[in-house]
Amino acid sequence: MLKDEDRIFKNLYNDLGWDIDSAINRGDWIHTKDLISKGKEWIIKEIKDSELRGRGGAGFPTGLKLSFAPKNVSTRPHYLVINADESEPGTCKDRDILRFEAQKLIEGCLITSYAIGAHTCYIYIRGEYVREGQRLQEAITQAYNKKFIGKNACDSGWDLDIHIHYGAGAYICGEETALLESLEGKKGLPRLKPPFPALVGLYGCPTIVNNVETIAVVPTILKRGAKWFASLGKPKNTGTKIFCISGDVNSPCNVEEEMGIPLKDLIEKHGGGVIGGWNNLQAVIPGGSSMPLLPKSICETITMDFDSLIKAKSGLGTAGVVVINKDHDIIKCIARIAKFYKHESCGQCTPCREGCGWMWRMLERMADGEGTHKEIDLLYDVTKQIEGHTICAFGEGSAWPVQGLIRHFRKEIEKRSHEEPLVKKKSNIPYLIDQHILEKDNA
Amino acid sequence: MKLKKKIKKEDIKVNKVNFVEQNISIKPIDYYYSNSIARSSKVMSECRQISKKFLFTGIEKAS
Amino acid sequence: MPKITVNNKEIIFEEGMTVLQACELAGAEIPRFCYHERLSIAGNCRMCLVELEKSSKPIASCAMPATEGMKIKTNTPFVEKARKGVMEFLLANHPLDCPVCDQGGECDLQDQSLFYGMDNSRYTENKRQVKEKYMGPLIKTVMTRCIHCTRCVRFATEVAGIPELGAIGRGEDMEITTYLEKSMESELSANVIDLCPVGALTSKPYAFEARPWDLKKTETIDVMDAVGSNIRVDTYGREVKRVLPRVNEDINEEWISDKTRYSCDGLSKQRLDTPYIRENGKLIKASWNQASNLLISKLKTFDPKQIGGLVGDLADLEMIYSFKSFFEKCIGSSYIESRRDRIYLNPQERINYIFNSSINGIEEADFILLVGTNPRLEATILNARIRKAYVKNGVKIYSIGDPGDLTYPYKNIGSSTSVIKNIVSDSHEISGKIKKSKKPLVIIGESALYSQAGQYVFETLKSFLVEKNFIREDWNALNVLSQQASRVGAIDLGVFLISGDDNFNFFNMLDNDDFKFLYLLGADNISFDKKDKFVVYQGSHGDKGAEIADIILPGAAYTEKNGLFVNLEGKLQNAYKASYPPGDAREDWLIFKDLANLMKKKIGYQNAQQLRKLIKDEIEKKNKKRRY
Repeated sequence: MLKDEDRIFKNLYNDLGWDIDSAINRGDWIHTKDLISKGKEWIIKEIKDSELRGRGGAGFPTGLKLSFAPKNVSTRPHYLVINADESEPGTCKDRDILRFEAQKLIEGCLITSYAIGAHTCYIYIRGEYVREGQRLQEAITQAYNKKFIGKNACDSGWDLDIHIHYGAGAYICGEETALLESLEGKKGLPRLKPPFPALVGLYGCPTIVNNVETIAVVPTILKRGAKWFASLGKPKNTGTKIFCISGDVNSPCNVEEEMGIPLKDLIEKHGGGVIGGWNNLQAVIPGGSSMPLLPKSICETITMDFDSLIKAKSGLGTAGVVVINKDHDIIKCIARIAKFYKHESCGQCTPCREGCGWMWRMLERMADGEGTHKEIDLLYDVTKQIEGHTICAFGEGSAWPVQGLIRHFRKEIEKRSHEEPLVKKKSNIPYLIDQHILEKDNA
Repeated sequence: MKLKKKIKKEDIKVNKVNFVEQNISIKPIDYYYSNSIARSSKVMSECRQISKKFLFTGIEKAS
Repeated sequence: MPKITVNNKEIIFEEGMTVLQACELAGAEIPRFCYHERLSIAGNCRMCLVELEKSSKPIASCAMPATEGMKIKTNTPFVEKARKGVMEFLLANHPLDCPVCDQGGECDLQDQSLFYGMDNSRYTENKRQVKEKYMGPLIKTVMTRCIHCTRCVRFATEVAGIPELGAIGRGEDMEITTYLEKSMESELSANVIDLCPVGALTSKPYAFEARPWDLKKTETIDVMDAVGSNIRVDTYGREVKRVLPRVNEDINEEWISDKTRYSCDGLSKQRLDTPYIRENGKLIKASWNQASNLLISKLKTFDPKQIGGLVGDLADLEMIYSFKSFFEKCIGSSYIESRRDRIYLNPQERINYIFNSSINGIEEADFILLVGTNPRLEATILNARIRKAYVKNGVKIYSIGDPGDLTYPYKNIGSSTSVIKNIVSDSHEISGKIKKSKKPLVIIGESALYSQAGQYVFETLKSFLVEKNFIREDWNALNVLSQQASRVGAIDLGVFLISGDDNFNFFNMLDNDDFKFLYLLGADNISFDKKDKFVVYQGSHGDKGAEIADIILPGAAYTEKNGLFVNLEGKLQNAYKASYPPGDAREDWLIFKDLANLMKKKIGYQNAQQLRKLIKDEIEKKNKKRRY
């Protein structure tokens, strides 16, 4: 369990007041000038030493990302873009940061902007977060009034302007390059990489795109030191993380915890336990809808950090823990997720555009018990054809949950689907061989 | 035909002409009907009908 | 030089190439749908996936810049599986209606599915149905076939410069449309048909006309404007079924205008297929003998000074040369003209009437001044080049006269000759800009050369450019934009009537009623008072010229004869015979040869080879005399 003094987001439940004065009482905006005066290299090195990994889903080391920005600002300005387009089903951590801990984010924006040489920072906020956006705007205005940002922010000599941009409700705009396209006023279609946004990003200028939580923890790391942050959690998976526990638990909540906390602890202690008891647990999606689910057997022992979840063929993602108990039809659940991805696919590249709908339709049939055994392999094949063949990571995001289902609940699907035909076919048909030749042999 | 180009400034014939004040107005072109083959074409006449509905150029606005 | 390894073969590539281009250099063919070398890279079809060493995922070769030391494999099972997967997705919602699709036989999807398609379909769901979109009278849409490569969208926004083609909807429901379902307001619109790799956008006039393998293909030259676009004429029997562009980097790249492409159905309509003679005010059919004899007997009744000839817009050099020889050697008149209006011409030097910078040169220009021209309508392909220069280099464009929407921004700096006076006397804002530029481009259109001021406009601008040293060996800023395919060739062959200061001698004589006998060689776009003139019209179509004629001699259209054309840059190009003239119509140089034989005069040639040699000698001689 995380000790109270190690908590970064002390006002996650708005017990202490969201306004700037309460925030200052909690320690925000203190020593900000000193931190900036220590220089860019020191800030980036400190973040590198803390081994902070991006909280947006991919877990890319943040210090490394910041160091990708060109050292010197040429004729093209640098930009910092905060990704507050939190649309991953099962995730709501950024929402509470925006509402209750906005000053942490704004302070983080200032420090990070300084570190990468940006004078302008855009916060791309999800269109549905209307109230949150208003609250954030209020917080920004308060910070402006206190002269914490704006011209000569915090007396540090650095100028910073923060602008809020509302999205229009597309999931894909949470992908960093699609977000930039959308911010530029175009259709939110992911860009081809390379070039990476750190060199050619918003309006063709060097841009660093980071998640809200990542940026919001930066000031605390610098204030309390990289060593403190690195001492929490596990090696390479350091620090604290906000977990969003939802689904079939007695008390769904957002909770800040140490990385590497056992999943069972998380659910039992913070989530109030699975509805119907631990034995009623069917599966857990550990990192938002785009991550493969984990069956109960794995949930017993798994710890919540990037590397151990990858080892279990899942991922931490955004740490949106969705608990599914045995009252629910797991195939139907995944079919619903597949429908979401079918609806949110941007349609730019072929595998995702055509594959998502195909997967969804097959899953719906399987959920209704109209699938065949052969189709399970076909479905797995389709997910493999999508995965890794697309422009952005949406392809993986849509394929992984289905793969997880087939990996762990194949028996469940088989049980419900039609029986295997009387004449059994050779099961391992090599993909590249013409199918009809084999069919003749087996007929 | 590739002929060697050796141009000296003095070789180029230059004529001095007195100034004539005149308006340079660009003559409207009936694009889809500019020659006898196009005028015989049914497709071109269809295009012409449609192009009349939208204003192509500033000249057409004027006329 | 950087090196890349493709399938264990090391090759040297140029900096800035993509992996796909490097693979092509190495001889490894990469399937693609969305990639097109003249459009921006979209990377969305995912067909060009290749294996990159040390990368767990296959990479899209069209979008990946090639870098030193990359190790690419294009023929591994990994790559093949990836491509087969993409192909399966593409075919999943494709209707597979090849038997009723016009693209059949020249369809990229069809061709590539032979290599990467599976032989049976695993997709058992219902296929997507997409409503047809209206895109004007030229483009037929079957949007269910669309594979969303967005080539058409990129063409429209980048090359044609119209924003009205785009994609709406998301994911599976993404549709390509013109938003408001109106026709595309572009003269290049039909190029999207060639770009479309499947049968989603096909040619409306050509719908269900023929299959590509049934057509005879002839590579030839277009005559709809003076650009001389390279085209391929597809014929079925005698009939020209369609016209397609041919790649010529120096002229039309890969595009042709809608007029070039779709005026071909006019080749079988309103054709003159037999000679006519006017009797009692009515045109009646006649035989070649009757018509020729009447023509010759009429010619004898007039003084050669009363006989004039006018060359039309679509004439090839054979036609013009034989016409000229016929006039000079058989009639004894030299009153022939190729300009159809009072457009100033200075034939002293060849640079005075051609597009000297060349079409390719437009891309190098750093300053463009349009004088009395609307290149969008006068030379569509050339306008696309100006747009390309604008998009690529951001070249500043100014115009004297208001040409309207040119698909790129330009600044109108007035519409009077006094603007030119100011520029030349260094008192205009752009004078300094011209002087500062390294490779300026001045394009003078026919509207600026019209009438009395034409001489002032042309000579003043020329002397200005000479003075500022913009007419030099490596760059010639003086450009005249002709509109007619025959114009530059006719002037090269000396078909103009200028006496002393009178630049418009022919037209003055025409107005003064000096001609009693007028020979129109395919000249339709001319207005004059007929009065008691005896008019002979020789041409391919029954149009304005034929209406007023007393004798009509049927000639061949541009697809029906071998001919030489000189385009506006002064480039000599060969047009080839794709089909045959209809009925009794004949190739024009043959008509003059036979007329000369009937008159028992020598015209100087007996067959096409002799004629062509004479023409080439003539042009070479003229070129030498004028030096350039």
